[in-house]
Amino acid sequence: MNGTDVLNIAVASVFTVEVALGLMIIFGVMRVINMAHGELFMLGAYTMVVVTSAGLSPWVGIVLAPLVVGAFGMAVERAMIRPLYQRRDLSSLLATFGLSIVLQQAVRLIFGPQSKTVPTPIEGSVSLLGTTYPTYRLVAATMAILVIVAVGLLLYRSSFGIRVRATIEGAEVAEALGTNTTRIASLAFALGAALAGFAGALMAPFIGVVSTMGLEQTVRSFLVVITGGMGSIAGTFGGGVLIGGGESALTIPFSGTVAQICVLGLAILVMLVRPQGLFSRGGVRTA
Amino acid sequence: MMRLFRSQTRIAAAVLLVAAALVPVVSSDVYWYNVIATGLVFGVLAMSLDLQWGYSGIINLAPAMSFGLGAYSWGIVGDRIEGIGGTYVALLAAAAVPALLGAVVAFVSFKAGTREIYFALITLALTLVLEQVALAATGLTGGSNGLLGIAWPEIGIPGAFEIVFDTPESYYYLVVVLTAIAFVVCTALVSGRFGSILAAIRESEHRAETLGYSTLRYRVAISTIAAALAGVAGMAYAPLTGIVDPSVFGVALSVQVFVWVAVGGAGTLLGPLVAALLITAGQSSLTGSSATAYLLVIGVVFILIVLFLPGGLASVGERLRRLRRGRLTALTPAPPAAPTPQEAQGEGQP
Repeated sequence: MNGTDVLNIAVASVFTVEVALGLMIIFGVMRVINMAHGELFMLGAYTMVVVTSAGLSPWVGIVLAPLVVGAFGMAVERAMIRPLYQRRDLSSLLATFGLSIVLQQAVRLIFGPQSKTVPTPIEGSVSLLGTTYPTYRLVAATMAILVIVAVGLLLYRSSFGIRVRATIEGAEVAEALGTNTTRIASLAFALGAALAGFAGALMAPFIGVVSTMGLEQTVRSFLVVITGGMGSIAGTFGGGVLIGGGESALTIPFSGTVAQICVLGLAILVMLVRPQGLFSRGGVRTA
Repeated sequence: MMRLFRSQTRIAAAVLLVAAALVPVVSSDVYWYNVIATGLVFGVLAMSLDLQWGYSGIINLAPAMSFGLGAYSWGIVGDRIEGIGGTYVALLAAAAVPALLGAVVAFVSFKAGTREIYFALITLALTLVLEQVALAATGLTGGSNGLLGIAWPEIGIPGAFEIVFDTPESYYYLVVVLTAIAFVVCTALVSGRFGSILAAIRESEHRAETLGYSTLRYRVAISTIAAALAGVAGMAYAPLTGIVDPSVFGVALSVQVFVWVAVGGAGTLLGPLVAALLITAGQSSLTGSSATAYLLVIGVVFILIVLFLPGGLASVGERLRRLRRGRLTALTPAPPAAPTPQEAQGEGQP
């Protein structure tokens, strides 16, 4: 394993945590299994495609993507998720599963089936750990880390965060104690979507942008949440590093397929041995 | 009333299949044999999902997984072993491989109790992996090009009598018979004691447990059976398209299966069968960008059904309303309209 591998693993871990954190916030607050989460990531990447093909700087896209995708997420929550809260079943899972295919096909119709490339905001590379590494990837990962830290501060050091965590712990009690959980749910969905969209925009310059890119992100995020523990924000960090970093590390000696099988196997093993997740405290949480 | 309704459904199914069997009498258009046979095979796949989703409240997000395994079974075995032996070996593989996988995934997912979301997620993740395996294992699967020149199956007793279904017409009849068998088997499954227990588990998991039924065993059983059925449907599908490629594991196909079941009505068997047949026939003329648009429309229709026609989804909700199990409260069944706060919070949380 050389310096490039180490940096690739670190970058993969950071982005896996960022995408999964969005999923986790949406799941935690609303108990909604958002099957379209990867497509929100994809929309972020396509925001970059639109912005850069209009001749604007990629930085504009990076700023716009979380806003656009966050607003889109809020609209989705209002139109599709909120009417299903009362249903209290897997309806929202099925609805978002349908949404994922709709978004994929809509983007495919508009932009075509070919993979798009997005120009890099920062050219060149730097010497680090005895290797030369593309500067932009390090900058992008640093920005992702800053956003993750900001979201962490928001969740743990603000009154909004207290209300979000209270809603995660128990929506009815939070509601009874004066939190407008409907509004929290709306904002949390927007925040979760914005995180996915931001990750998609940041990664767009160094991955292929194609309408089907989201599914992989959705599945990986869920493996993170299963491994780290459902409803655990801290677990998302551990799970993200384990799944994202682990998959990236395994692609060095093995193929990508073998790496995928291994992380899936890991998630299944965790399900069997420690169903509450590796990084969750205590027993299985039923609420 | 229920009996009458059921027998009416069976009469309708019989009429449908007899009508399908008579198609070659009125038309010798190979194109339509292919379209209708494909629709029927998809109908069997839809019934397989209906056994899980409609009758057992289990969400398998990747019904295409077993279907794809069945298709590859025939593509791989049919090419290597000629004659009747090949058909039987492939049939065994097409049923057993998905069944085994379905059983393992169901066991792992449901073992810890309230883990139906895990079942959905693991099936989805597995199908993604299988798609990658199909792409990577080029020696066996032909990689992204897939397998071409799919053989026609043969049945009979070696040496005594052999039937080769090597014309579109004869193969068409085989598919009609297969669909009839699948319908009868599924109907028998869900209307017998086994079906009643599945319904009981779907409606109230802890009540079924209290009555002494192993919910794990029944969920694993139905997942296994549904996977085997989908596998056989996949095998039957392969000669119809003449090609097996990684798209048989695709999410696009899985979403379509959900649409067939949702449109036809989950928990009716005949509805998903008819919906699959009609939608496939309607779709057959679409190609290129209109095929992309078709999937877009299918997705929108599915969302609308989930949002506004919850009747088909009600059965899923009933069971999830009782996520908590093994508690003393299970002994006093709460009125279904008023879940306790703990239960309400537990919704969607495995």
